[in-house]
Amino acid sequence: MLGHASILIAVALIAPAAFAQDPADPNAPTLVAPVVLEHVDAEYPPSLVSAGKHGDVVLAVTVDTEGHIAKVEVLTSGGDEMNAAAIAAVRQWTFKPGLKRGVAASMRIPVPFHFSPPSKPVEVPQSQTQLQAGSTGAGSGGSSVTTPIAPIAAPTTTGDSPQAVSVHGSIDAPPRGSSDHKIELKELSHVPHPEGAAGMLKLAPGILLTNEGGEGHAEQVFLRGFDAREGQDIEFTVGNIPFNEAGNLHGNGYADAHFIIPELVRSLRVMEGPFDPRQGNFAVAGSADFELGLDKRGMTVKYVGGSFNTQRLVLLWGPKEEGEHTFAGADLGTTDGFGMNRDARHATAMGQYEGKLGERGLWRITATAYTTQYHSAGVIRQDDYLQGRVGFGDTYDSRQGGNTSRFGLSGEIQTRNGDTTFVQRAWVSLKQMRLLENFTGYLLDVQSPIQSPHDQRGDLLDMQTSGVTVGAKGAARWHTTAFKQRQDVELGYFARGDVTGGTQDRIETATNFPFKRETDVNAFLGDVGLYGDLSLRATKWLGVRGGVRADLFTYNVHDNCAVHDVSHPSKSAPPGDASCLSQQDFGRFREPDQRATTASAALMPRGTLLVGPFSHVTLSASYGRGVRSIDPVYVTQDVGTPFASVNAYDAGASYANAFSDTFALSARSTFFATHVDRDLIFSETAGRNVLGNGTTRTGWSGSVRATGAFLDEAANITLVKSTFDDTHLLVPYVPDVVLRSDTALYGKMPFKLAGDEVKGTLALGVTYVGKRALPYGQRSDAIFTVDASGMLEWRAFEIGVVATNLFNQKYRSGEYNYPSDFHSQESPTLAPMRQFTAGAPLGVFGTFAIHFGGT
Amino acid sequence: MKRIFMFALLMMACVGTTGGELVSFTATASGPSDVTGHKLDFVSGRGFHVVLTSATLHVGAIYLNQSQPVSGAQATNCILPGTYVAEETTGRDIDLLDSTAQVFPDYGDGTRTHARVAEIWLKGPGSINDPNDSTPILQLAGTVDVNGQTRAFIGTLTIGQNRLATVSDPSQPSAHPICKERIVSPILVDLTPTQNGTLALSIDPRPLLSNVDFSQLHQFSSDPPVWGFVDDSSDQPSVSLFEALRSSGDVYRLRWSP
Repeated sequence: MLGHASILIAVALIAPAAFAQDPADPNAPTLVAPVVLEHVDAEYPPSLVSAGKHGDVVLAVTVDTEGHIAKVEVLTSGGDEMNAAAIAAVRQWTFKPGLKRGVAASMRIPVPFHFSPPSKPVEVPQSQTQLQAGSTGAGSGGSSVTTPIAPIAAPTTTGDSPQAVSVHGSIDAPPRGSSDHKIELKELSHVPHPEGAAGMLKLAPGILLTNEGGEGHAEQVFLRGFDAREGQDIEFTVGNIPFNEAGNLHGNGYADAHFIIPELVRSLRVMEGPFDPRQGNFAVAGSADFELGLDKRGMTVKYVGGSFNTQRLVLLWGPKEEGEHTFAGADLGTTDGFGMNRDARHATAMGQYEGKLGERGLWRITATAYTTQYHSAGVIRQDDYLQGRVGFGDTYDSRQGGNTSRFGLSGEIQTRNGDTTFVQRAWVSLKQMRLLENFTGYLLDVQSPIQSPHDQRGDLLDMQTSGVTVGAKGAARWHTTAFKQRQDVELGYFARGDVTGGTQDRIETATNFPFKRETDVNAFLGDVGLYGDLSLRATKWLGVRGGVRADLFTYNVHDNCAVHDVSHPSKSAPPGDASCLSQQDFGRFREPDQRATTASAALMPRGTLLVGPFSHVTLSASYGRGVRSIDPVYVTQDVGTPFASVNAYDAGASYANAFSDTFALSARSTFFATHVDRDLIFSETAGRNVLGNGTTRTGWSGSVRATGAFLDEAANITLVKSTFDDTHLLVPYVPDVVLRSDTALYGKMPFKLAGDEVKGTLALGVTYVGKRALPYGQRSDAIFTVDASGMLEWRAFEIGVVATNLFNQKYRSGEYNYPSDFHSQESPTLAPMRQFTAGAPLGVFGTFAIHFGGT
Repeated sequence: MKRIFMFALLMMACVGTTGGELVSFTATASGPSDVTGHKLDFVSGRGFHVVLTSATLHVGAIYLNQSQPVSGAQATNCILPGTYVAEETTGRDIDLLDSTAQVFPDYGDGTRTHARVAEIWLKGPGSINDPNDSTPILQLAGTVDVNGQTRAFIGTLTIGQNRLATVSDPSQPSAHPICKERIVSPILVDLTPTQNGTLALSIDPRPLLSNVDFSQLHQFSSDPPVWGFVDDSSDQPSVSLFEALRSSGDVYRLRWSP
């Protein structure tokens, strides 16, 4: 059989790791070559078998900004038959587009083939290497590539001979229009992000982060008019592994990104809407994936110290012989925090190893550990602040704060077999969280007739939740060629089980003893989903991507505290002050617990129409339905639909062009509309978001990124109007105007030290958030903050200074209108009043880092 | 055109409201408008001729509530979080024989939400549930004609241990907390607070004495002869006065001036 020739493919089959450049290296090329995502072996021409002929063909392949092959030319001919076989094969390949300063650009690369007759198979070396890719000539729609691709490992190429390589590298999901933001951090990683890894989300349009819970509390994320709280409306993943916490009492889907060491984040994919069938539970406002990696190989020791007695030590390792997806890191930090009661300490460790599996596969294992303890100040009443009863950064209740621990282990396998790629991922995580918050002071402990007489004992919430998650997901992606275009079909599954439990008590101020148990729930939550995804192209400029996903959510909830009150208590054995009662009217006994089970399926069609590119512009229109499973505490026996659903629509245009080797520009404009049937609205009494009515959002977002030889600029703006469906009133708390700019200026300094160059970087992050709608027709203050950093890099040393809130704006991170009573006045304050959480003042921090043992 | 388009987008995003409004207002209290010469001369419901020469009421706080209480609905709790529209939380003594507006020390706060019920809290600066609050709530002095004889009387009412109801049902030890004795409610109102408006409380002391049998007043001293109200529920005059004080009938009137 002649069908499967032993082909020696010599090509730049590069794992994503391999196209990384050292962003700190001023001599690094500004170009990143396209990466082969999937390749197809060429068939040895049957007509040449009898002759046993060897031959080489080198093709010049132009890869467009979408990763598709725009043009194939023969640079070195091996004869018509071999040329045709090579062209037929390469036409089926897909690429991750090349980048110019972080922007997708059309590029032309050489792809050599070596043909050997089937009887003399050629052994395929296992080493991962790259092609000497110095090609010339202009690519279609882009400019020429003249810079060799910098290999991550020492290349084994010799002379001009093509080298056999194996295909390794993870598969990226095809992009879904203008709401799908793939963000390479690069030089923008120098922009200060006080929020940690979550702060990088602000590179995507429309995102505001606040935090009323303290340093160890997850950031509250607002996205395109959604109050996603701590992730409940956003599917968060790291390396495609989910970390939303199903069943977390503080909010189903709570996602705390603090366990991610910011220095290990290489890129983000933020999809603002549920447009990809791979997106699962919680992808209501969208999804965000953190891709981890470490560019600098060797060892790095970094120290940060400064305002508020903040100290942070970071250790990073990246074996020189391995790709940047193999690394380890540790992060230890403490701070007193600004103002009162904001001290915190944390420790994080992350490790990942990526190895080759067979000829063209890879495996990856990732371990994470995170633990933190912190205090938080909570809210301040505006009337108390204005009348001098409390300070801007004070607290009413110094017991607020919490601790969190999270440990995770995940693995991934990718293999390729002919025209099909298989991916399997599995993970397990263990987490625990305690949170103490007091939003209302002394308001909620109303006297009940069956209780012994008492005054208000305090509203401090003591929430404790823990859980174990076991999950797996996998996919098979098959491709073929039709209409001379590559067509893809992917089938995948998602399976996840969560064993969770939690309690919520109220703590008495005078004694610190719990006096009331409000919640005591154990739950087993299941989520199994299937999806199919097509990526079809009728012509080079017309494509459709999308499919459908179906998830079945199952709930088995055991409420250990199902009875809180009884109208006619037993006279002989009254329940008194007990919280979880075991009697019905007139003293009849019942167990205090109750179990509820239910299940429901969600069908989620999603699709994107892509037209273009024409003159570097691609038009897109998307529709998608997403769901968010509801909190276990809301589950009722056999009542279905334990989820809220969103329908999202958008239409936009994307522009990407590389004007030269050193300057590239991309821009996006998107109009969007979303409708949620049951939104989450903040409740101060519950201390979290609770289910509300349906809401609708309409708006527009625009973003631009420009990269040059000394500049990296990303800016975005989002305008959105969010209203309730029934009243058409604004949804409170969400910002309707968000502007963000991230700027990095970098380059060689005009002087040398000891004969070696010094690289300097200045970075600036500017945030403007318009006046947010608050309950009772009010508007919050606008927020305008500037964060900046400056860094010098010389030899193995880096020294820098970081300033957060550079202009020392006295701003309010969060503002609310609701009743509270902190005993600051003569009588209880029961009517709604403005409360706020203080934003951090100017902070100045020095950084010092040493790199050694690497490149 | 482009600018107009951007402006339209910005306007689309920045307009609208969540409904309602937070407001600050002034709260005042006064005696009846027909007070003359700092005394009140009237015939009580029981036919006694009374001349009040001193009448002071300590109002601890005023709350406006959006909920019309349903019969039995307030049988349990003194405070119903989430239903309050406006509040004046700083108390003061009100001279009930002064018809001019006596302004409460601090501004009141609230929302522009229609209020149906008012609560007047008769308490000192401490907790509404403090059974040991000895703040004089009502202080009276005057004369009354009894059996053709003019008697001087005085009265000082507090609301503390002296007003605690005995627990009759051991399964509901807090069925009658002290806070219930201190809150006058429901006082029916029909008003909507507005920014910089005035909440005017008018208190008429005459209904307080309407059902008092002055002939049963306790004689505190014989030289000079002084009668008065005892500060507990041991006789008819004291019970009647205390019940009238907590009555939401004719004693308290609230109105809103924009």
